[in-house]
Amino acid sequence: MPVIRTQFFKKDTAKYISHLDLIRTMQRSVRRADIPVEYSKGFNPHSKIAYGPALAVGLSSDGEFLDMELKERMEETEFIKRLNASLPAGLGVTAAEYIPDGAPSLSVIINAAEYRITGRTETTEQNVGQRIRKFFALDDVLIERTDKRGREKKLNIMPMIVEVEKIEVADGQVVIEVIIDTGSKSNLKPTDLTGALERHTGLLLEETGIHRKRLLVRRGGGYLPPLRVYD
Amino acid sequence: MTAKDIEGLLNRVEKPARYAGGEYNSVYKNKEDLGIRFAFAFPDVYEIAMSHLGLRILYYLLNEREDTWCERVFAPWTDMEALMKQKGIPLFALESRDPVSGFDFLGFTLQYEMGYSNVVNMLSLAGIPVLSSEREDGQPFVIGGGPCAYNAEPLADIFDFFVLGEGEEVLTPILDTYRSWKEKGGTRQEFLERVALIEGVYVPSLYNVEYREDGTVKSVLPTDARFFKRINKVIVKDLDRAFFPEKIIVPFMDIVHDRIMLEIFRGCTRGCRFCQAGMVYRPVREKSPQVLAEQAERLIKNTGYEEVSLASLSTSDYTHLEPLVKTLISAHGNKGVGLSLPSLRIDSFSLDLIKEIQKVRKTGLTFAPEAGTQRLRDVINKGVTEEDLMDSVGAAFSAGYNNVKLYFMVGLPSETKEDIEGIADLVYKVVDKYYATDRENRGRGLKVTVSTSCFVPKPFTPFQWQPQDKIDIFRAKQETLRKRLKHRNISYNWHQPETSYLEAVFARGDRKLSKVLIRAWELGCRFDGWKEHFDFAKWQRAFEDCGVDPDFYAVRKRDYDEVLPWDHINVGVSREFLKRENERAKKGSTTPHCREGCINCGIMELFGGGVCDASY
Repeated sequence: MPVIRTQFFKKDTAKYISHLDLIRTMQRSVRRADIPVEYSKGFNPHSKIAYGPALAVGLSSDGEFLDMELKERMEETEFIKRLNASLPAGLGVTAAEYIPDGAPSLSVIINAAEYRITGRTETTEQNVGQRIRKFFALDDVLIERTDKRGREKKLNIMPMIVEVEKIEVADGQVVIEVIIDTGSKSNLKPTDLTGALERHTGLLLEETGIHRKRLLVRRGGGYLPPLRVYD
Repeated sequence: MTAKDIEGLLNRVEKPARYAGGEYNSVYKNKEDLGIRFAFAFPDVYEIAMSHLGLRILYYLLNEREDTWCERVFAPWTDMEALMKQKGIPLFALESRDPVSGFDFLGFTLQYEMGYSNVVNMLSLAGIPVLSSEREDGQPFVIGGGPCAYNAEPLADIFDFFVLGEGEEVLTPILDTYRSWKEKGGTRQEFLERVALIEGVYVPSLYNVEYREDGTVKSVLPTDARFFKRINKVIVKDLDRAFFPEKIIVPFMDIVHDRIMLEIFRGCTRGCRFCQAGMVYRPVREKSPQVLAEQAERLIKNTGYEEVSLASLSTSDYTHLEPLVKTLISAHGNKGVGLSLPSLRIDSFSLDLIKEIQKVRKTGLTFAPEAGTQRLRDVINKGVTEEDLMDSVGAAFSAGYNNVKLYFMVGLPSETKEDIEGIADLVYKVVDKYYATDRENRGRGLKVTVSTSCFVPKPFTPFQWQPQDKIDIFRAKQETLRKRLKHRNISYNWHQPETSYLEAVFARGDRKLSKVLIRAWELGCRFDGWKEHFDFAKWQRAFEDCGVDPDFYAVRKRDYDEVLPWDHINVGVSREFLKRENERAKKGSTTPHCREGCINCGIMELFGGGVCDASY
């Protein structure tokens, strides 16, 4: 069965929907678009669509991915056109390509994501850029996390920050771009990062916005777009 | 307030999708070209509100008008309410995010009494005066419809007017009247007096209520001879030609009834004596299977929903049910679209039909015997027998179903200990039936969910004169069942009697209750239909503070010669008929359903011949 890997965005009102809501919305959009999606067998058939790592409620993204199994091949451009015509405002497909048989799933290959974090600080705050840079230079920043059994655990988030790409501060407006671990093996929530940043710098970010620029496959010191990773 | 302020709140509430809007098929219009801004309000949270079929129909009906933009507004959950108050953000419509206080109409659908405190709360959050008499020019008209509008006396001081009957028929003349009034620039009072002349519109401030010394109603009379002495409800006569939307909003978040609701008929041919819906939605009017198949086709195409539910009061009474089910399944089953048939009656349930549905999607089965013994089922005129139930569950178990829900009521008129024990006996017979089913065929692991609600006597039913059980009596009955229904295959749920008591007070209430409602809201009551928010002590205090005795409304037996607070409203079913049925109930005699012969309920007198599909 052909599997089409699809890149999409989630923003505006659609950023307030949960991952489960997204799954339902996508299923219905696919049915409206009359795309020949494959259904699972059994009493409650559902369309065969697999997603990359979930995006938290309230976050926008330009680089989400899904793999959709089709009953028969259709032109990629036609696929994009039809799906976009039936998606609700705030969701849209930007690219789609068939992946070869046996290509590993998104959840297997995706292990990082690039985020853009914006916010405002009080204009009276001094040395904002320096304080943020100092935070990212720390070796150990512990956060509390509850494990599956409900036990509290301390976790060092610094090894999960792969790369700090940009720290910009102008008139109290802060822009940070980072690549952090994202996926089933190691996962840093961006809200945990901003929380830790605020605690350690003593800054309070107002009107924060977290935007996932793209999900990534990090390999051998470089990054690949998930669309073209077949092994 | 700006859109940005609302964005700021959305990031801080538990379920922001409740307030974000922007769902597929939601309607956005250019504000500049509009004459009428209408906010369709539902006094509960998004998940409940969006499950309401009437809203889904009327939203598009109103938006068909070029001069009108109908938007939605629901009760914000407590987390959102706290933030709105903190930031000074008034109640806003989901689509435009504009404050509803600037709208022309705020139209509430009133589905259950326990939503009343939310109505008051929403008005307050909107910054609209709670009392109709305190609203001024430029403020919206607060109007109400839905089943509770038939006896809306407890809300009479709050609403400007009510719409009695089916909105499709009456909203258009109301809005046309509004437009011509607005263009001429009249006063609020002038509009109310004009709209009161439209069939199906009830303006409570144009009617005077007088009481007797014992607190009962003496008379309800119009303030001027121009106004109707009795207000008739209005109905859609031909459902096939009635407005039905080709698309409906597809919510992002999971709502209670997240599916296409295909309305197959209105009204009910059964005469269950406790059932208000079965009386007030008369006459029975069916849609043809051809029209339904076309509507289903378009709705599936335009929504992408994976389930179609056949909506009505008693699905299996639809004359063309089998062919309709077969048509729908053969047309859409291969696209993963399932079909669900709620409100199936026990007696007409057929195994063929189950098998047909099960090809696509397996859903649980619900049966409502309502009472535990044949005697009591005859009293309430629920024309089903134990044999019907056993045949149906037997068929269901043989078809592989292992999950069955059974609904009963406690506190029905004339109920005895035997009737309560009878509920438990019946449940165990269902369990036995499962174990008697061939192991090869039956599903593994039986689950029988038993729910008992507390009987609430409702206006416009044969039991409208009957007293409700007292709270401690309800509790004793529930306790008996709780003890008897301890079994590994059975789970037992029961309704809070305090909630049902309050429901009974407001269902048959009069205008004296408006002040109690407002007092309860002042004390903090809201979301009374939600266990975690319902605070009976506050309600008791509100009654005390206002010097109103709730027992007068809930547990008092009425005489036939008493003027009931809703007697000036005509739903078509006559008082004589209701009285006759109440008398038959006392004798335990059943009344045949309408298709076996017209029982002269009175609906034909109101609407003339040819309107009731049960009599041809």
